[in-house]
Amino acid sequence: MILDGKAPTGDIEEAWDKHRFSIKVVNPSNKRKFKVIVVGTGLAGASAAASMAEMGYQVQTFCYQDSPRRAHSIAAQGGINAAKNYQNDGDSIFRLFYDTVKGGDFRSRERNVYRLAQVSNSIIDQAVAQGVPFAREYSGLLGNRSFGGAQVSRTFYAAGQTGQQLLLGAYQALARQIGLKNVVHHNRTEMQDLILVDGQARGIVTRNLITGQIESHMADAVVLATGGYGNVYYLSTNAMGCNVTAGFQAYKRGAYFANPCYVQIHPTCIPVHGEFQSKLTLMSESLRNDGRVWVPRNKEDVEKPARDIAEADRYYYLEERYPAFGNLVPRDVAARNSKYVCDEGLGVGHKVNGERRAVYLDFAEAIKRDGEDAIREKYGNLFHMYSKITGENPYKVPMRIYPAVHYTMGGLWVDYNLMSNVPGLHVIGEANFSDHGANRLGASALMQGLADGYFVLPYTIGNFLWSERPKPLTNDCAEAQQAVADVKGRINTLMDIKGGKPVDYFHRQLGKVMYDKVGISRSGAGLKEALEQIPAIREEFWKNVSVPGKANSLNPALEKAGRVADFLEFAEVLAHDAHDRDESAGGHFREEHQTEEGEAKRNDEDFSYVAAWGYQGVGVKPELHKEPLSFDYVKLSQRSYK
Amino acid sequence: MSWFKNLYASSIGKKLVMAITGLIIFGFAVGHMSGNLLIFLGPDVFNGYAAALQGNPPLLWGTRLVLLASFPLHIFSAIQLKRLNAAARPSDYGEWKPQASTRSSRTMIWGGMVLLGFIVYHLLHFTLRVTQPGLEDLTYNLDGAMVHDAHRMVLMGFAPTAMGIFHVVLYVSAMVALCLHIYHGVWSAMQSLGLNHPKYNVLRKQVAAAFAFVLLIGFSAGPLLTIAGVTKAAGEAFTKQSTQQVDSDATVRR
Amino acid sequence: MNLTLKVWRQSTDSDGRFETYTAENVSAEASFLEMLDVVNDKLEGQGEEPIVFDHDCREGICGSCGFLVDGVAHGPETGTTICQTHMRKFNDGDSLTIEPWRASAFPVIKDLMVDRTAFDRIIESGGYVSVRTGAAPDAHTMPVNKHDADDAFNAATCIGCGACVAACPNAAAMLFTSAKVSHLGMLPQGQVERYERVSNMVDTMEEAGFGACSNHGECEAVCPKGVSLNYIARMNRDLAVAKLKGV
Repeated sequence: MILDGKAPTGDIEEAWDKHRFSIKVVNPSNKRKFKVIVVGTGLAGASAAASMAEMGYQVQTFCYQDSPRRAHSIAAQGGINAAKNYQNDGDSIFRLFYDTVKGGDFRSRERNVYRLAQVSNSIIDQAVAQGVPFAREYSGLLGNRSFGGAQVSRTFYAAGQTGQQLLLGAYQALARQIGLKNVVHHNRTEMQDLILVDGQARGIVTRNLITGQIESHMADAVVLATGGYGNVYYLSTNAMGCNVTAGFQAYKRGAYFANPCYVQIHPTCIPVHGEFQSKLTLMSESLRNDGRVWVPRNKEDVEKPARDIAEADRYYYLEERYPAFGNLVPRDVAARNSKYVCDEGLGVGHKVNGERRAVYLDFAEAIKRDGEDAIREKYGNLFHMYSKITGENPYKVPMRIYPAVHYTMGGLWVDYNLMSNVPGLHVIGEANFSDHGANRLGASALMQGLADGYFVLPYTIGNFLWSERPKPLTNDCAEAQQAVADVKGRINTLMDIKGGKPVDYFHRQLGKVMYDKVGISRSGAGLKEALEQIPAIREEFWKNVSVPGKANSLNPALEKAGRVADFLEFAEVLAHDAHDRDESAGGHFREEHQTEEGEAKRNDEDFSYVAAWGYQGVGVKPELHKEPLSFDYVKLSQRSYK
Repeated sequence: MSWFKNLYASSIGKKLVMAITGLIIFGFAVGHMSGNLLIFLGPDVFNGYAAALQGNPPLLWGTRLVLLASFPLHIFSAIQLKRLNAAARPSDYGEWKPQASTRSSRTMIWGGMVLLGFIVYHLLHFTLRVTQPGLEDLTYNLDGAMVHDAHRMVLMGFAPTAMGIFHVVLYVSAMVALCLHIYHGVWSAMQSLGLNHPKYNVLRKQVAAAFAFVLLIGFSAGPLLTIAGVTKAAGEAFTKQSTQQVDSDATVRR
Repeated sequence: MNLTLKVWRQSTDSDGRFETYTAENVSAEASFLEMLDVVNDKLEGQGEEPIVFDHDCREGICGSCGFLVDGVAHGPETGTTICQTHMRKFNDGDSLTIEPWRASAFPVIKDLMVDRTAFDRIIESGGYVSVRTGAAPDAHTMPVNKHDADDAFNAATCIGCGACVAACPNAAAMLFTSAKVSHLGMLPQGQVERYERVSNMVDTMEEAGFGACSNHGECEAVCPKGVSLNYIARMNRDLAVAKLKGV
């Protein structure tokens, strides 16, 4: 089926304004008659819930954490882009739009991206008015930095805690609405299923994580702001609780999952230290501005202390392979090359599962050039974090880094109004397939989450509500009862397996397959293998997982089991998408498709589309729906960083 | 007064009352200590000072009234806060290791009780003079006027007898308690009153420590030096010197 | 390394007690929570209920984790959450006591997990600037002195973990509340509601059952973000002014 993103036509600069005029508007007295459910209260969810509640809608919010303030948006370090041009370096809405489309390797919807760039400025205004303490210059005006290889300084930041500060801003706006009783918030409550009534998304089934109670909540529209699915790789920079369940259950109820194979692997993370590692920690990529990446040239040197390896025996592979950009090549290029040198046996650091998977990020030269104080001034907090985690002093010995899964560009398919193909089901933030195309630029995730939540969804949701005017439903309607029964059945099945292996055992196995075969670098043959291995792990999981405790009480093992069960099905969808997309694009690198320089080589003729997958049953290849992409404003071109 | 009720309803308001009353009492203590040190200048000076205080009812009763108001407020708010705090942490940790609090800060309530007991004894001892026989009717001829002999009272209170030793131990121990109470109290009062400035914050604890130390030394000097005989000797030396001075003045005048 | 753990186990409606576990073959590179994962994996494999503790980001920023290790909130490493404390900080053969935050405003849910929604209620009662989406002027219409902006930022780095309450002998939430009061109160954006904010937030804080400040400084010492005690002095001042104004 060919999908229509329903993006407005005409001049791109006026498209969003005209669209807002053409869609239905709910008048103020009617807004309070509509109920909206928002699942997930990170940047996108909290900002959307607060904004809709301010407008007058009755909003209910849900999060699995003990407070909305803990959503993983909080961990974003770098910053948030906006086309303010405060630095007078020639930035503009069009330039931000252009960079984002190009950075996404021409796999995003042009008009969505333009809108994103347009509203980016309002986000900064909003955040500042909320009291978000962005970095300032001595003039008292906002500071900016250049980020992720952008040629203009358009990134607003609050030290290395921009995500935290923006999330707290959105959380405070939400808290105000909770205090005013415009929002009813449910902590420690996890969505388990989507309830459809007459084909429309009208409610959700939740599990109260403290009491284990399964409940239904009905509304006129449902918004998913449930984040990304990076934890399908087991080890990622995501929080421990991040999961795909909400989106995946919606997918099983008919929503399309778009571009799941677009996964961003961040090149500068602290390497895995052992088998029991639970998560990976990101180090801001700004480190590559001054650090030099290298490995020993000879395999015999990998065990030697870094300082004992002679300059001539060091392989500065990024500088040698990409003389123009050197250590500042884009994330995917840097990540891939780290993998290659480690595959060749040149990796350094401890052996984990028989392999050394780390490369050096060396500041010795920068320290010699600028002095230790200058480096401390720039990166002090990062160096401190590194030494806390590794016990090493990066001022004296080079850091060790390795790529890790960080952000997922794929997600539920949505149209220009951020509504999925299931009427009433809206998806925002990282949970939708979003505006990042095949690769996300640095400092764009915060921008997109807040754009969706503050400035897009609150308007576009009115179009659905006022054109459909859904009939009121009770929490115990037949559809809700059925969905609750389905969820209870699934939980009882998990509890009854009583096998001998903890949940994490299966999650680790899945992660290994995903990193090896569906990770930084993918091949048709490897993906085929993954498509055989994933169902095998899933089968063993359903036979041999151990979920102790009770279903009707606090049970972290059960929470994990439910999430991993969904990852085990979702992984297959991801692998199918990666296999089907027989080209390289952005974060999706197929070894069969590279330029002579080893760059991702797109095939615009055959793959210039969004791949939206429809559920066909567990273990059955999903059905592919395509949304063709056209580029009227940004000329298709091949990236080159030589 | 509704603003005061609202303010006092909050724990911060109670702390504010504690801080203000505490600082009043502290101020009195500083004055008291300064007066005490006059004892080393001999009976004329010391008794003259005491008589001057007695002879100024507005000052004497003004001070007494302010203190009579401050002590109950200080104690009452302390008890209320203690109860509030106990309710906030109903069960103790199996193991708890202090990281920043001091013996001084953790013993405020107990130190306060010790001081209260001491003050009661001290009033009975030197103000009402009912605890030690012989202190009741000491008089002194100050340039012809008969005044209370406070100087002699102190010498007797801290005489090298069993009772004197008891008093020295009691008074000096109480001053150690006072020192601890003042050390945390003065710094804490600055916090409660919101007296902070990034430039001077580092000084706040030093200032509190300095005050506490000065009070400890200043107050303990009396009992310790008295029992050691220094007060008497110093008083005699000073009196002799000033008498000679008076004599030489007289000579000149003559 | 091998360790003996004395862990507080408590279900919702029971009194709770210490149970002893052993953690075997723990890597010095592992984080403290990863060490507990190993213990839990073993328990789960044996069909026993794992030790429950809150955790999420495991990079020291979400504020979910936290318990006392050997009598110190977030364990022995200063300026660090327990999720970022690594086992190299301990020695082979150590015996560690692990206890939940204790405060009547933070009831224990299970084992090491406590209910910190009182913090949310404090924020809901005033920890914000009342600006509707879309109502903001251009970000540069109001310059902010860099010193004030930096100071506000330092206050705003609070992660809401509750260690301040846990470490305070009075279970006071002064550091948490004052951090938010100061963050917003030091910025021009926060001036309009400055006194209503402090008044309402302090009232809510006290209704929640937190204790009073005795200026012990335990909160500051265990705060993983180093939030300063000076913000409490600042809040005291603002509250006094607020109540004098009759707010």
